[in-house]
Amino acid sequence: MLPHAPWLSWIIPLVGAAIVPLLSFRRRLVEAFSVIVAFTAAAFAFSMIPEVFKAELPVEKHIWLPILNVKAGVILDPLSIFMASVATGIGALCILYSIAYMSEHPGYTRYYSLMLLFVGGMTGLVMASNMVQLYIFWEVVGLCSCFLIGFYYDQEKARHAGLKAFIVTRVGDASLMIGLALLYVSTGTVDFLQLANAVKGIDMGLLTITGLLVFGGAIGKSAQVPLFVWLPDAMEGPSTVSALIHAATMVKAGVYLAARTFPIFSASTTWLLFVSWIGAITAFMAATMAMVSKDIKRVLAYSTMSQIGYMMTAVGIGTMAGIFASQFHLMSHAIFKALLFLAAGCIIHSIGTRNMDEMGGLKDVFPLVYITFLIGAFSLAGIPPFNGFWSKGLIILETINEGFYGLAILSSITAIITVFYTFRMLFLTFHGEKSEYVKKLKHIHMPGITMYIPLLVLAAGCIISGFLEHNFLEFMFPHESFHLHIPENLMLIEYTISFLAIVIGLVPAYLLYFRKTISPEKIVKSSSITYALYKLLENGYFFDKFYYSLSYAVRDFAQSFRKTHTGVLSNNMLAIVAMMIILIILFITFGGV
Amino acid sequence: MFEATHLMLIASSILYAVSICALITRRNIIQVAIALEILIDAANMNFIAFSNMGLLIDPVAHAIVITSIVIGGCVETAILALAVYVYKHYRTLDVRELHRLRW
Repeated sequence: MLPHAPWLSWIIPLVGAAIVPLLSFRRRLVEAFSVIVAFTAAAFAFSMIPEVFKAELPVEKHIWLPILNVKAGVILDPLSIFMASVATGIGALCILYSIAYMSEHPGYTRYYSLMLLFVGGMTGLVMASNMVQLYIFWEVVGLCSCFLIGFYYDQEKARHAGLKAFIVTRVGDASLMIGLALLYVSTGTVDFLQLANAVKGIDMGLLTITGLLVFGGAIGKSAQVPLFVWLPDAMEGPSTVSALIHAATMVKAGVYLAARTFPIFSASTTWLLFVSWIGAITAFMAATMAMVSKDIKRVLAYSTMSQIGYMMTAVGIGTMAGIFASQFHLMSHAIFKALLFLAAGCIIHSIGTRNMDEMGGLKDVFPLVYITFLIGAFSLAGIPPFNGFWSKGLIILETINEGFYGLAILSSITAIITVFYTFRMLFLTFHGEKSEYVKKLKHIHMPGITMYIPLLVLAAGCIISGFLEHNFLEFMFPHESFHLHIPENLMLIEYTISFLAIVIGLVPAYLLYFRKTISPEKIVKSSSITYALYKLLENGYFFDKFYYSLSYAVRDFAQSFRKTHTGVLSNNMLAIVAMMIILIILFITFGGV
Repeated sequence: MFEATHLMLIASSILYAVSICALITRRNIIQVAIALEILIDAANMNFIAFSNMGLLIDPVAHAIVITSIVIGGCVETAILALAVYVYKHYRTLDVRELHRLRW
């Protein structure tokens, strides 16, 4: 381990974010500095990995907020080291890719500063040893996501999306904060290591409510049902930001929180059931929404929600094997989703559109992007031997193994839909005829070398990481002789499910979008039911509309008080005096004087 | 000594009531400024009255009152400066006319 790695892995990017504005006079300097800082942080984070296998993990603590009895510290365990490595590793690759991607944008200082702050915030979040510290970084991550989603602030849609992300996650944050306060009041500590023991004495109902409130924060951050509406809109930001949000920083924070608080709340079966069902329902709903979306980045956004749902399901199974499965899928997802977003970013950067109807036939134009995107898509669809197959299979396997057949069926259906929308996206983008839009493009701006390096690294990761299951198991549970007890026949069932999912999902996608023997529009228009279904999916189950009408109702209610603001000083004084008299009367009546 | 405290409290209440009435009824900014000054004086007098309650006279209250007088002076200056600009802008000192920022 490099000296003070647990601290420096997040302090370096945070300090780097502060230094970037000082270097803003030269673009090259900012780019070089940011890349160096990001890779240094990644080096520090990765250097912690061998620490896991030592007998005792050091937990460094320093006194802070003595009134609350809170000590600032870093927690060093497999979970935090793994998450820190993912956040800094993917973050460094995204920043390297940004050099070419953002080469024409004048706001480079703001961009790199926020990117470093984002990576540093996430790493700080996962290294935090107590809830208060976690909450602070939780807000840092939220703020960065708001600014980066609204990065193109000259566009109305981008500004709106940034604000929406901030406000929707704020609902979850408020819930998390109430949960933390309840936890502190009932146990008297906020330290993760002490909490697991401290909660043993408290009432089960209270524990469940606290757990659900804390999980509310994860619902907001990880875009689970019902607080998912910000994630599809978040696609207004640059593709690199989407890659970072989806693969490493923002949405993974929710999964991390669920996994981190698992030892605290796992005694409550209600909490576990809630977590797993929220996850499974989100996985299903997001996958269905991805089937009809026309925007390539929106499809990827829905697929992220869906995969995060899988991870939540795995956490909610309630066994250590479930936690392992969720973390294993998190690693796979981080790699293939970063790959897919960066590959999609290459295309968007080159041809300047996100609409899949305006693509098509791009595999001859970008052969290398096509191959890497194909690897990422195969991983997402769960096709062997790519990593998604192993990790998604493990989650479905665990649900069957622990007897949650409802979850298993819903997850399997989701797997079928996943295969369908993945191949739909692949066929629409890369195969078939070139669209009129592409044909008209005179000059296609080819991606640069710094864009290819991260793609190739991540593609290699997609192929390799699936085979590292046993190494990863050793890493996550270094001191216990922990084995995944999986009967042989279950393994067979799981493989059958996976292959059936691929076949059932692939055939319609092939017929509809590759051979084009059946027109998807015809199916939609064939009956009123399919049309209604299509509208339902296209509008995201009307959650968005519902929230907007709610916010308009609140606004109109507040507007109705406008008439009372006359602006005349005498009226205001009169109101003050009236309130004063009421307060005095109340004080005399109830004050006990 | 106790008598003096009572008298001062009564006087400060009267000042307070007068200033509140003036703030509600007066329309001229200059008159509002005077009413506000009386309000501050009422509060200051209250402080002085209660500093006399114990065996010793509490000097802290006096110190606070002196500070308060200085701050009151600043507030008055700000209001009078405002009054000058209001007059330049609107050609009137009637507070009811100052509603350009109202809905």
